[in-house]
Amino acid sequence: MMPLLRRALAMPLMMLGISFVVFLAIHALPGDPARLLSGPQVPENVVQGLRHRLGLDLPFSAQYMHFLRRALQGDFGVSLRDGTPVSALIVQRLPYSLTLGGLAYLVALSFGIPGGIIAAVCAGKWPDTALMAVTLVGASLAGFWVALIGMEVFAVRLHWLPLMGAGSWKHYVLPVFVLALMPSALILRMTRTGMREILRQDYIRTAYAKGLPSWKILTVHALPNALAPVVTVVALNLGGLVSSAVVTETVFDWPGVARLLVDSVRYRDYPVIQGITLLAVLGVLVATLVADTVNLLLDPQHRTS
Amino acid sequence: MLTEAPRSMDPADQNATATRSVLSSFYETLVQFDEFGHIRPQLATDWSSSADGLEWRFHIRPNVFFHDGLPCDVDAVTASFRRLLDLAIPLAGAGVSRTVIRSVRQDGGSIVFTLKHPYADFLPLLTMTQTAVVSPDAARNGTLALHAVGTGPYVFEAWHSGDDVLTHRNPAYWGQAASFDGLKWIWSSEPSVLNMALQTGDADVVVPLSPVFANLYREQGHAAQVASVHASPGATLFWAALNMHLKPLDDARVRRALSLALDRTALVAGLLHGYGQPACSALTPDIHGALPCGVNEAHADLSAARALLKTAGLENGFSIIAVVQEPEEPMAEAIQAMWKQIGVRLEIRRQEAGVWVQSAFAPPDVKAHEQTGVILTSWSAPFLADMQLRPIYASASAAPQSANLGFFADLSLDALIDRAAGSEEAAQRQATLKEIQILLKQQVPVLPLYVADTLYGVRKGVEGVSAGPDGEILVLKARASGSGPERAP
Repeated sequence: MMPLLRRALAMPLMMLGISFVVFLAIHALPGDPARLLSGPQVPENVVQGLRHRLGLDLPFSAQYMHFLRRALQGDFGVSLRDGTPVSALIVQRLPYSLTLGGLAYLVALSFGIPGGIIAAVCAGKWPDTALMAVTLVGASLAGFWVALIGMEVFAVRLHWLPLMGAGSWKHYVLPVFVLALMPSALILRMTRTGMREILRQDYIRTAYAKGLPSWKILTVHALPNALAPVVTVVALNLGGLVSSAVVTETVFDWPGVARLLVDSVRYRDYPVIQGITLLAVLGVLVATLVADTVNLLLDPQHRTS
Repeated sequence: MLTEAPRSMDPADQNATATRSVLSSFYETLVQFDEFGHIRPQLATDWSSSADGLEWRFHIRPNVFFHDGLPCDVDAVTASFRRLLDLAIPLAGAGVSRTVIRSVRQDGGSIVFTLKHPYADFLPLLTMTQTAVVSPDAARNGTLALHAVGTGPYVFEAWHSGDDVLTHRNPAYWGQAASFDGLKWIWSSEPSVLNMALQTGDADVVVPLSPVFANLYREQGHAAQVASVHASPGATLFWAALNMHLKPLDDARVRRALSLALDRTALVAGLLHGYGQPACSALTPDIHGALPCGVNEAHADLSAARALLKTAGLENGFSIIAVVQEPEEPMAEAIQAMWKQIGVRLEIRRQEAGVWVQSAFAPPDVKAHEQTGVILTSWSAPFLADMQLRPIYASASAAPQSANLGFFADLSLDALIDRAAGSEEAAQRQATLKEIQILLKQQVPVLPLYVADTLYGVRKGVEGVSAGPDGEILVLKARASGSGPERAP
């Protein structure tokens, strides 16, 4: 438990370091927010006035210290575009992104884990080949393309599903499917690999020799041990989910945090980019901590290591 | 449905077409263009100017009220323009007004503008959304950026940042009441989503519709049954600036050769699917005095181009670099293929919007370091000849100050631009504009490419929608026309 505790305690320090890196990276982006907000037809003296008003003419260190002081009080500043507090923007949109991401992971786990077990048990047979082919396609298709095809078929032609926006349960179907594609493939392949390795172990052979039912061997004895790498991958893939969400939320006009991030990058809205990036980093840190904790619970060997 | 979110609810603090579309439902200007391009009264009932063109007097329409209940009287209009001219308030859309107007004052029941110099485009300037009259209370409270308060036929209700802008009908509107109970503005940056939204009914009006999808609505099929597409002559000029400080582009013969090698008709046919017209001069067709393309001028003349390069000692061609944003990349590729025929190798650097702005507006030393020779972009200033010339060609507008991206400097041209701007007499002004365009055709600091039409789609069941020449969608006169087609869930 000590390593986990140490990591939990080190998280604020890591966040501080990451906040500096994020701040530096965002300010190193080419492009002047004042010019982007003003538009190309605006004379330079007006742009300079806007730069001053937004505090963008201050030295980098002064801007960072100002940001840090406020961030420590939970204030990430206000959007350069419309003056709305960043925290308010995030709070308003986070539930949409969490629901979408959560459902996508739920679908991915519901498909990936049973699929991985089936593929491992039937290794080399047609169900395995079929599932591997499905995951290959799922992992290879560009989410953007799948989204547009899905919209054209199910919204424009068949009228089964709404085209865009968030509202009823039907609005979730296409975005969740698109977002779940990649993690589903990943989880299925990781589960298959883990299960195949575990199924070769002596204790599994012993269990079969003792006459235990297959379902019990697979779910009670094999699966928990095979899941450790899956849990780790799921946690680490959270960053990938954020980048997939950028595409999905933009195409489906989903009012989530990722779409806000895209709009903010376009206009170099530094405070909003910083707020969302730090939130994503915090999410990944917490997810990896939770993954390690779950691994610890799943595998007693970890407790002593 | 638009392609980008509004940038502000403050009309004076924006310059984007999509934003103007949204704001035009909330705000009104002193005067406005009618559908024939003539100036007509809006918040002003009548006006007059002094003989020297320096003083303009407007009478304000009585019994007009802002959405917050305050009267839109001469006090309010004066306060609105004083704010626009106040140099202490950084407003992105105030640049031209501040350059032209010296002061504004009340005189009895009228408002009087004193100009810094005679300005022939003063009335067209007052039609621009940037000069719209705002509520003095909202301006004083500093809430305009988020909450629009004007006198228009629709009242601002909410701006869910990133999602939509909601409005409802202004029951106290002084003019003809709006037909719809309210308008909802939404947006998506993906052109195919706009097309699909029109077909499913998620949007009743989309602008701009990509030319790629336009023919869908002209054929027999689902799209044509539920919506129609309209093309309105535009005033957005697409052009390529040439870096005058970079060899061999500092040689006018080379620049003319590059212009001659362009097949502008093919650009319009290939990139715009015919929805536009070739541009051979600096002014767009909405300007009186704009020179149309001459016979065969819109087609490439490769032998003449090669001959010019030969006289410049470049018969083996040369290499240059162009910086473009993603939407302009197909245009850059078409130009690349055309120039290849005369031995000019164009390297295309596609850049994200923020990076492109930095490259395009870089000063000469940075552009020289990055070897930026060509900058592809567009410009829109309908009915304002001065705004189509001064920012792009005047020596004082050289980047990063303004949009003279290739650093063209010609004192005789500067004088001509000033003369045209101050010329009230139409024939004299048109003669000056012609002189300017001929000079620019000889010097070729910029390659005009084409003027794109504004394409917009409208669902069956909606009528009265139109588009302004700069792509602004006008829905104030929109109304329902019987029952429309069924919508998707």
